[in-house]
Formats: sequence, structure tokens, C-alpha cells
Amino acid sequence: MLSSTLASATSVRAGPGTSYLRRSFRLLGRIPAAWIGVAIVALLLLAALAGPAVAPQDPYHISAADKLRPPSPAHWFGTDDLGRDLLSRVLTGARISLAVSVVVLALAMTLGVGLGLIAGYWGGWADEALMRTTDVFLAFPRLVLAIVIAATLGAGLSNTVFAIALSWWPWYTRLVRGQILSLREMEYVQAAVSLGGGPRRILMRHLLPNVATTVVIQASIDIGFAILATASLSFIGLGAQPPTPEWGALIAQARSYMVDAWWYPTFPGLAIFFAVLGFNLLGNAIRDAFDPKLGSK
Amino acid sequence: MTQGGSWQRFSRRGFLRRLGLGAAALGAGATGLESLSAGRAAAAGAGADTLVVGQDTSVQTLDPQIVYDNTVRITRGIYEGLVGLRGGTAQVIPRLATSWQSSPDAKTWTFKLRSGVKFHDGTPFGSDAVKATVERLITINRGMGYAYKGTVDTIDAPDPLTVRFNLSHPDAAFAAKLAAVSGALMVSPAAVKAHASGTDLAQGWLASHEAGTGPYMLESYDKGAGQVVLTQFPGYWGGWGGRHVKRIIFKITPEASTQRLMLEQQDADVLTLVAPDIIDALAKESGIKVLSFPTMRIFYIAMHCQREPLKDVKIRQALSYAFDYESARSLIFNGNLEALYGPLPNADPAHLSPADKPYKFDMAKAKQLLGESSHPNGGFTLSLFLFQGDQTFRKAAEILQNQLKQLNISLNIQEMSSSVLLDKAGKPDTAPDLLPVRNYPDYADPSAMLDATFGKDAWGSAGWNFSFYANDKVEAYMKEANQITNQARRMQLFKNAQKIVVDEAAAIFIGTLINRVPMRADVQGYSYNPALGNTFDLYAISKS
Repeated sequence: MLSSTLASATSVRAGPGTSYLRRSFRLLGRIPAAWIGVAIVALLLLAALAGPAVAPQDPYHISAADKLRPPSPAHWFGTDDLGRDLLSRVLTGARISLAVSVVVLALAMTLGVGLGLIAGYWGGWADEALMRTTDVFLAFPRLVLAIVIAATLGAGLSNTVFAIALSWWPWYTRLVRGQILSLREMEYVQAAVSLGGGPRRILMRHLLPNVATTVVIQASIDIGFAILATASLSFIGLGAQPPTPEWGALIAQARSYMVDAWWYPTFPGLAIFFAVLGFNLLGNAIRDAFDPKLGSK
Repeated sequence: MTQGGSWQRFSRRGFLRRLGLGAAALGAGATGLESLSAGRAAAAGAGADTLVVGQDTSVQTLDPQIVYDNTVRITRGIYEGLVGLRGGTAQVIPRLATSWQSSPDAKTWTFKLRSGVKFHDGTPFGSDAVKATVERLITINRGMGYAYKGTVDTIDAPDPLTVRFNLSHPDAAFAAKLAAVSGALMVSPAAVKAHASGTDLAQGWLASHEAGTGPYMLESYDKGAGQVVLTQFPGYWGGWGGRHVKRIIFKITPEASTQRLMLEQQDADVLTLVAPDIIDALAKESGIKVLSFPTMRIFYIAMHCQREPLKDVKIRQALSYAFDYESARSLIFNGNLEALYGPLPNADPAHLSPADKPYKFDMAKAKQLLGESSHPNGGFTLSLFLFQGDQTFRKAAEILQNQLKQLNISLNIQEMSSSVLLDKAGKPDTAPDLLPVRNYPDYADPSAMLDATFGKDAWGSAGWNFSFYANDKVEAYMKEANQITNQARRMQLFKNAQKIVVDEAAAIFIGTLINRVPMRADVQGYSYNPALGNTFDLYAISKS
């Protein structure tokens, strides 16, 4: 009797089963918006990976003769105020935006999830301290906080990454803590505890895999916003520095040409628009498909 | 010349004045929209006797002894100095003083004052006002205060219409200083006394009120709406015959594209923006004219002469050859940039000639000079700071960056807000290797620009010497020039000093700006003097 309980307790594995995953992916495939999102994100990834290779021209090449040319077969997106090919710059910008937002989320998730696990599992003063800290961070709008941090650290892309990540982690901490609070009362966790499983084993083997889905869903929605936040900081001059063709920085430089050279602010703007749209469609679809509560309907 | 000492010279205002842009990148859009709608309301009742100006800089204060930025456009309509400048020249002419003379050693300057002049508050103007104003300027010691503090020893008022300045050292440029765009603009001593709070010399009151002698009075100043309204002073000593406008409305509009819309929609009559591309676009539109004036505003990239690797004169010379001057002229200014052969612009009598400046775009020569330097193969990184939101500086930096790549030198560009930038660039330890800047002389004398830009006492925040340049020979030439009154000899000394600065490549001299002013076609009598910053004569302007 005892041995069978032991066996079942250890065999209740953390994490979603394969049938759940299969069903969720099948669900995902039925959401039309998901396919649009996938298409946009795939294009974006392609641009980011192959961008510099497929860019028709050197994105940094200055040419006095080609200043502010409208779109043409030679320059599909036209040229900027220093005669640089805008298509090449927007393509190069894709890699920057994507890399930045991935790093931002990786940092925010590592910090946020780690602290969320600690707060949720141990509770007590650690929970209290961490939650009050997140309260402080959450009291500010995310972008405002990021602006303050970036301005304090000084302008630059790496500081921007740090600033956005620092304003982002409390959301993950809150999310993970809430999940852990309910998960740790689950029978299989209690069983593992009663069998003498150490915190490390319980956290990594039983709890983390169960919150992973939620975190990944949240991240897939957030990545679009991270792109937007990066562009926003660059737009006000705190992010990418010249000559880096970050999309937000491109729009900042282009905004005084809005009336006379519509293509200059338009194409980087469309790039941001589609990137954010693509990730949001995909993220929402993933949430709809993978959310157990929605999925059971 | 006493250039140093005044940290205040380097205030945010001082910077903004030189930047000439208002440079309010953050939040400028919102402010702009607000002023646009308010401007429309104002223009609805504006006829031929009201002039609306799209003003690029928000008002920090209207205090005539403190204002040092583009707000001087407003204060120079309200206040006047003892002397003025004739038309667009550097010739000093009477204003509130009718005549003056200096002692042979240029240490004592005596001015006869105009009689019958009244301040807006009714106080008669006299020598007591001159003495009080200049003493107030020295005590407050902001803006132009540096030019008087340490120079003016005592001021005598032997009778109501005579005033005598006793200087502590010879100053051949003293009358030019009094004709400067800001500083010694006369303020009513009675008003200062009546509205003083503690020891503030009425700074608080004068921030939003006025007591001048000028042709226009302050009718209203609405900080929230960003609007300053001036109206004619009936008792102006110059009289109101001839063509003038009755009211002048300054709409604070830092965003260039918003100013453009205001002019297009007839919500403004005169603009103050400097964005070359927008001005070119406006020039093509009907009902709008763009006037061009030569300026004394030089555009250059300062090179840090005290820190490796730019401490090596060969590397500085290499950079001077590696800059693509022609591309910069067309890409940044659409061709509207005058040549610059040294620290002084062509409008200055002591300017150098093309033969004195060897540097032109020549990468072979740049490579050769770099090869002779301490870093023959390059391989180092230089830092460059940018004033946030300024497109002309950004483009100059990117053009230089593009060429330096070929010399295996990388350029690390960092944009920052004006206050942070000035704080860092003000000290040799934290200053960038390269800093693109503009500068114009504070008064109509060659010494003004030379001292402030390359004098050893004007390093960083003490003046405008962001090259941290210092050369004993240059100092000796400038000192001699300030102690003699023989103009021909003075010009020669200034030229000698400049030749050394150019030879040692303390900066990359890119060009002299051309002031292009967009306005409605019916605006008449727009009068500009290159020695008076970005101002224009409010008394002379009218609408047909």
C-alpha cells in the first residue's frame, strides 16, 4: 500500500501531458488570426536572420546625391536625409528590434519567474518583501519607469534593454507567485513534500514546469510590447544611438520630414506596426489555445 | 579679457540661445499642438497691425539682466541699451546714449545720455538708472554678467545725463559689449526698488513683469498658453511716426513642423525655426517669403585637445582632412552654408582667408597624417555627444563617422538631453572627444568669439571652449589686442591668433550658418543684425 502510494506520488509528473499539448496545437491551428500572426512573425524572423544579407545596399552608406529620394525600383522604400537606402535600414532594424525584445524578455522572465517562485513557495517575509517591492515598481506605468531608468543610466541600446527589463520583471513575479500559491496546495506537490522532496526538487520538477505554459503565453504577448517599448525609448533619444537603424530612432529622425518625405517615417512605422500586430495575434491565439480553462469549452 | 569665472554663462539658457533651436525634444509635440490652437484663436482677430511670431524658445524669465537665450527676441522690444548697432553692421550707434568717448588707455568710458526718455512705469531715465542696471547685472552675474564682472570697477554719475565707467583693465571692446544683444538693457531703478523681495533685486517680479524704455510694453504673459503679447508704449522717445505694428504676439512653438503649419495657415507671420529642409519647403509655397542673411554663427566640431588620442595634433589634422565638407553642406544645409576658414566667420572683420585654412576633404592626406601620428593604424574609438533632437548635429556626426571608418577609427555617438550634455561636456575629464556645436559672438568684437571658443580661461563650462584648447601664443596675441585701440593692429593680432588655432586643428571648422527666415509675404521691414544673435528689430517691422 505504502509502496503504491509512493509510486503514484512520484509518477505524478509536473507539467502538461502530451495529449494536452497536442490538443492545444490543434486548437491553435483552427484560429485564423494565429496563421496571420505566424506569417508576420516568420517574415520578421527571416528579415532579422537574413536581413543584412538580403539588404540591397549598405544601410550605413551616406550619399549626398541620393538625399530623400521617393520609393523607386532602385530604393523600394526610398532614401533618408543622408541618402541611405531605407529598405536596407528597416531590414537591419528588424534584427535589432527582435534581438532587443528577446533579451529584454529573457532578462525579465529570468528575474521575474525566479523571484515569483521564491515568493510563492516560501511565503512569509520573503513573499512580503518581494511583493512590496513589486508594488513599488507596478505603481509606475511601465514605460514611464523605463524612461526614468534609461535616462538615469544614460542613452544607449544596452541600457535600454536593462531599463525595460527592470520595469518588466514584477509582472512575471506576480503572475508566477499567484500560480505557485495555488499549485503548492495541490495533492501531488503535498505528496512530494511529505515524501521529503527538497525545495529545489519541488520547485524545478513540480512547480516550474506547471507555470511554464502561463509564462510562455504571457511572453508571446509581451514581445510585441517590448518591441514597442524599445522603439519608444529610441524615439525620445534614450535608446539606439546614431547610426543604428533602430525603428523608433528612424521615426524620430524622420518626423520633421513627415510632410515632404512621407516614405521616411512611414516605412519604419509600418515595420513597428506589423511586428507588434504579428506578435500580438500570435500571442493571443496561443493564449486562447493553451489556456486550460478556455480550452475545455 | 575676463572670460572665466561665470558659471552662469553656461546656464541652460545660455545653451539654448546658442543652440537656437529651443531643442525641446521631449514633449515638444504636445506643447506645439497646444500653441497651434491658441495661435489660431489669436490670429482670428489679428489684422495688419498685429504681428504673430512663432517663437522657438519658452520663456524662463523676462528679466533683462538674466535673459540670455532666444527670449531676447522679446526683451529687446521692451528694453533698450545705451548703444545699438547700425543696420546689419558692427558699427556702434547711439540709442539711450547720444555720444561717448573713451580715455586713450581704454580704461575710462564716458557716456552722454538722451534726455526726456521715460520708463514704462513713468520714471525718467538718467545716469542713476544706468548705474543701477549695470550694478544689478554684475551682482546677479548671469548671462552677459561675465563681460562686466571683473571689468567694471566703479560707475560714476556726475550729473543726471552723464555716466562714467571706470574699468579695472583696458577694454577696447567695451562699447561693443554695451551694444550686445543682452546684458546692459536699462531697467527702471524705481521698479526694481519697489518690487524687490529680500536681496533678489526684483528678479522674481521682473520674471513676468517689465520696466523698460523700449518701444513695446508687456501687455500679457500667459505661461500656460505659451503666449507673450507686447503692445505699443505711447510715450516711446523714438515716436510712432512711420510704419509699425500695434501689437506683437509671441507664440511659444518649439516644434519646427508646428511652426510650419502655423505659417501655412496664416496663424503666424514670422517664424524662428532653423530646420533647413522645412525652410526650403516653405520657400516654394505661395504667400510665403524666405529672407536670407549672413550670420556670425559658426558650426564646427570641437576636438578635445587635452586627452589622448586627440591630444596628438597630427590626428586632429587627419580628422580635419577626413571630414566631407561638401557633402555636409548639401546634406545638412541644402547648400545654404557659408564657408568658414577659422574661428571667426566671414562677417567678422578679422576673419581669415581661404589660403589660411588648408583642410579640405582629402582621405589620402588624412591617411598620411594618421600614419605619421602616435596611432598610425587607427584602431581607437572616439566619443561624440549630441544635443538631443538636433538633426544638424546628428547628420554632421554621422557624416564624420562614415569617413572615420575608412581610417579604422570608430566613433561612438551618444545623444543626451541638453542639461546632462552640458554638465558632462563642461569638464575636461567627462567631456567627449568630439562635440559638434554652434557659437556666435556675444558682442560685435573679434575678441568675443575667440576668447569664448579657444581661450584658456573659457574651458568647458567657463565659456564655450569644448576643445579644451590652450596656447600661450594665442593668449598673448589676444591680451595685446584687448589693450590697444588701434583697430588695424588689433585685427592683425586676432588673425595671428586664429592662424595658430587653425594650424593646430583645435576644431573641424565646417561653416557659417545662413539665417533664413520664413515669413508671410506681407511682412515688411524685417531687419537682422548678425551680431545680435537671433533677434530682429521689432520697432522696424510692419505689415502691408
